[in-house]
Amino acid sequence: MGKENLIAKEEELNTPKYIFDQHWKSHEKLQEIISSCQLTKSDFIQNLLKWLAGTLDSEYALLLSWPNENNKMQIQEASIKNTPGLNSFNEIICFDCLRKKLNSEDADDEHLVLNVTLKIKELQEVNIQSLIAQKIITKERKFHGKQLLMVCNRKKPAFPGQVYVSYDNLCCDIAKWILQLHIIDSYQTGKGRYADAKKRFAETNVASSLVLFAKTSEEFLAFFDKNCSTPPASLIYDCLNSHISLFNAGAVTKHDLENLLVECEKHRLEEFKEIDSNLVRDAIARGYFVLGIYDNQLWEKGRALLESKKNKEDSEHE
Amino acid sequence: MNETFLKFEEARVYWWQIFCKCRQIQKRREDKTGKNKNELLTDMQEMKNPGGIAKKITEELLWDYLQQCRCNSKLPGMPMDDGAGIKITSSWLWAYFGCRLLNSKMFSLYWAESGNEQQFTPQEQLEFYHRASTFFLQLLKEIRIETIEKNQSIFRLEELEGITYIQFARSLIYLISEYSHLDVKMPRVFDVEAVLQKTIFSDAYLYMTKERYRDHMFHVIDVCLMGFFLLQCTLTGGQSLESLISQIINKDAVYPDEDVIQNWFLAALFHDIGYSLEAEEKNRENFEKDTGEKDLPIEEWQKKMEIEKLKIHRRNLAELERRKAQYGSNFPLSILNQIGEEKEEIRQLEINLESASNAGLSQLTVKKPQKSNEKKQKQKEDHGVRSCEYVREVLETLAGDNQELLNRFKPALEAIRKHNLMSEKINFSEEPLSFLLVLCDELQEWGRARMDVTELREAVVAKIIFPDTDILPVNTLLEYLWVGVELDETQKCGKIKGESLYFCLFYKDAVSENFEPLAIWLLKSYNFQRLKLPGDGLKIAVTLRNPVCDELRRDDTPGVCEYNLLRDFKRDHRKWRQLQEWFESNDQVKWEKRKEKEALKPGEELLVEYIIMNLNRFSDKKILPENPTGIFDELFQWRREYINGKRRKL
Repeated sequence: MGKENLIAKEEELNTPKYIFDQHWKSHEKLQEIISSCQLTKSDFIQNLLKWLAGTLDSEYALLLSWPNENNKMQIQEASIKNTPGLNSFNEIICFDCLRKKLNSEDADDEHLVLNVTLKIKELQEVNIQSLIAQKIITKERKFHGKQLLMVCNRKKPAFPGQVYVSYDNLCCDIAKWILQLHIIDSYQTGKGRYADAKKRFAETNVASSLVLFAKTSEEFLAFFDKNCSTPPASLIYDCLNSHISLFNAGAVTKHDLENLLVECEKHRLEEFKEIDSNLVRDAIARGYFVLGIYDNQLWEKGRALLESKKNKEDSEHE
Repeated sequence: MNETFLKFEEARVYWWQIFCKCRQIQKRREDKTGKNKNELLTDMQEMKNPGGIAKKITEELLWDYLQQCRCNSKLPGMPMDDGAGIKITSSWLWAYFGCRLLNSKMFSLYWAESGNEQQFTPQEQLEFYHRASTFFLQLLKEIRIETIEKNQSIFRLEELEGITYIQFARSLIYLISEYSHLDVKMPRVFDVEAVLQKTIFSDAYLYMTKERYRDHMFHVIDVCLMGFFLLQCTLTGGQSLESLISQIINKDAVYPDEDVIQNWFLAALFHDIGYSLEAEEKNRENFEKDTGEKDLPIEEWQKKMEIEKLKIHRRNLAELERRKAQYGSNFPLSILNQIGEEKEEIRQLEINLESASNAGLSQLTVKKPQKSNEKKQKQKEDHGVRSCEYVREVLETLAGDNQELLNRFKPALEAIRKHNLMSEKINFSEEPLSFLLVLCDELQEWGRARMDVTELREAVVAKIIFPDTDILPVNTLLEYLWVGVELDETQKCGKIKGESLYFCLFYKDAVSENFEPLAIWLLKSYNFQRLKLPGDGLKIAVTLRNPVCDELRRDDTPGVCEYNLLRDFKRDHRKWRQLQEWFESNDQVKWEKRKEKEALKPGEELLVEYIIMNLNRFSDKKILPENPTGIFDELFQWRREYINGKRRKL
């Protein structure tokens, strides 16, 4: 991504929306799905749902059914029964009129309603064709408790605003929506845990709170990595700093710290603002120096990192 | 994170590079996989590049910090227009010293001559790089916390950086010592490093045995650095205070200017060594009593003591490890620091003992002066006199028949001898260094923690029995020292305006810090009245600022302050002879009361008392006929009774 784009996006950097956009744009599997529009509907849905299930944590995303060989959707009875936690879903929102004209080829122009609430059993009774389940708890969207989103096999299902979209677009939009909610949810959970741990560590200054702080910062960092997004420099700094401290305290092995340093190095430093990039580079270099006490090669790695920074600065001055 | 924070991190990462390399080499040696000499030289070369960058950034940061501590104070009795000055603390002085170090001959010698076997051995260079990186890492951390985090304990991950207090103290001592020998050219026979190292231990001993003892290790360093800063300050016309003093000392132009700094370092760093000697003597007495071994040669006795210390530290280490295990995963991180310190002590003692078995221990320790017993009788065991005797003996050993060498250090010897002898007059025009030593010794009060000895012993016992981490209830009297000096950007030194040097000691609340302002006023007046400063030329005033304490601000005692209490005491106890002159000598000591804004509580006002001491007029007449400590018991009791309501009458 070019530097100008980054600057333009600076204000929204590291927000869930930005992370989602990054994810959406850069996820290779998703690119495959988008390009798979040429596929048969069954393949497309299957790919999409598989991708969703893979991208979201498995306990959150459930693929319940997909088209059969005759391009007819079918209920995967076993899946419903065997999916843990499914029975606890207490509300179901459906994007179709489920009681009639399911899979009807001539139902294209019919307005669909959204306000149908059913229990799982009822869904089964009406022969629901496919489902994507998502556990969503976000106040912003006014969802409360556990809700179930469904995608039905219709040629032109509609959104609540009664805008007709194509089947493929609908699937993509729903997938986007689910992913977005998932990212917001994960972001807020991760950030909250990390911030709480940081505060707790400052208050107590005991080993267990440092361990928690290091763990939550690492998890939050992993969240950014998973979503192909650039994490805030301060998060990388905190994560490295807390791990180096744990290493000094003998609570983290050389191997663990080295792995973390390698992971942090993967972040493309040029994507940061200059000062942030320097902060991250300095923190990584420091980690290598600390490890370098026991292994000269790692000390050399730290030195090379600092020298690359120095060379860059020198060339910029020239 | 702001840009300054990042700059601190940047400077520190280069120091980390050096620090970790030193640790790596050290570790290799401990593991007996040490490299040969040539490889060690190559290692030293690797320090050069990061060292250069670290030096550049650190210098900028330190100078910025020195300037940030500028503070305008409109003080009573001060004719300065803008009240510009500096808040002096230990960090400030260490930062100032850090700036000087980075541009010192010592640094360029160690740095530029890497590989030059004539100058330093690789081992010496390794020691230098290790100590310098430890010092700057810790100093930059302290300054960052003070300036960016405003001293709030928001986040102290630094506690796990692996650098302990004792390592920092040792590094500071090492650097001061090397600077004294290489830049100031103090002869190596004055083993500054060994003497100051010794003070760390004597401080520990004296804290446990003397009532309300105050530390001396950081004290002598801060006194030395404060005097050094003042000596570098320029007066009107660009002349430095050092040069002015040089003119006075060298009336016959026999000695070069640099002798002033040389004498100053010797005087300041050794002026309290008497305390270490005393502690060592008491230790020896106890040892002889316990073991029945008498008249052991000093080296052998010291070796036995080192072995004893090693045992104690090993025991402490085992105890700390046990305590850490007891906490499980919830152990306080401070324990790790304590463990680190014990390990450092053990390492140092093991090195000492190893060197002792090779070359004898005497080089590492402070020898007891042979003549001290005779002399101490005469001077009533004054620690200044004992310190002077020690320095004189070392000097005589060095000089032999060379009288010139003895004369060269005469100003330092006299300054050390007189600094605590209240009966000795000191005239600035004749003994400017003695004058400066008394002044700096009195002004260096910040950070000198005191504690009731019984409470301290109880706390230590409690800490041994219960694994708590409560902070000891120590008292520090002073917030900071304010000096009316400007900083000269180009010369990187201070500038004394209008030949006037003003100081103000900003004291904390007397009740919360458990001290008596009246005792400080009287003792300082008594000590300063032996100083003579001519009315023309340099002007010096010392102001003591005390907020009226809470217990005097109660509604039923409106307008009562310490000064009024002292007046009432004088009348009640008929202390006309002892105190009348002090009240009447307004030219020398002036009192003023003001209402000021309360810094911590916006919108509220604070009643503050100022005692302004004009040192130029102090020699006019005697304002206290005798040492005021004689009336303290009565005075404090009377004050307590007054506060309790017993003394209030119409």
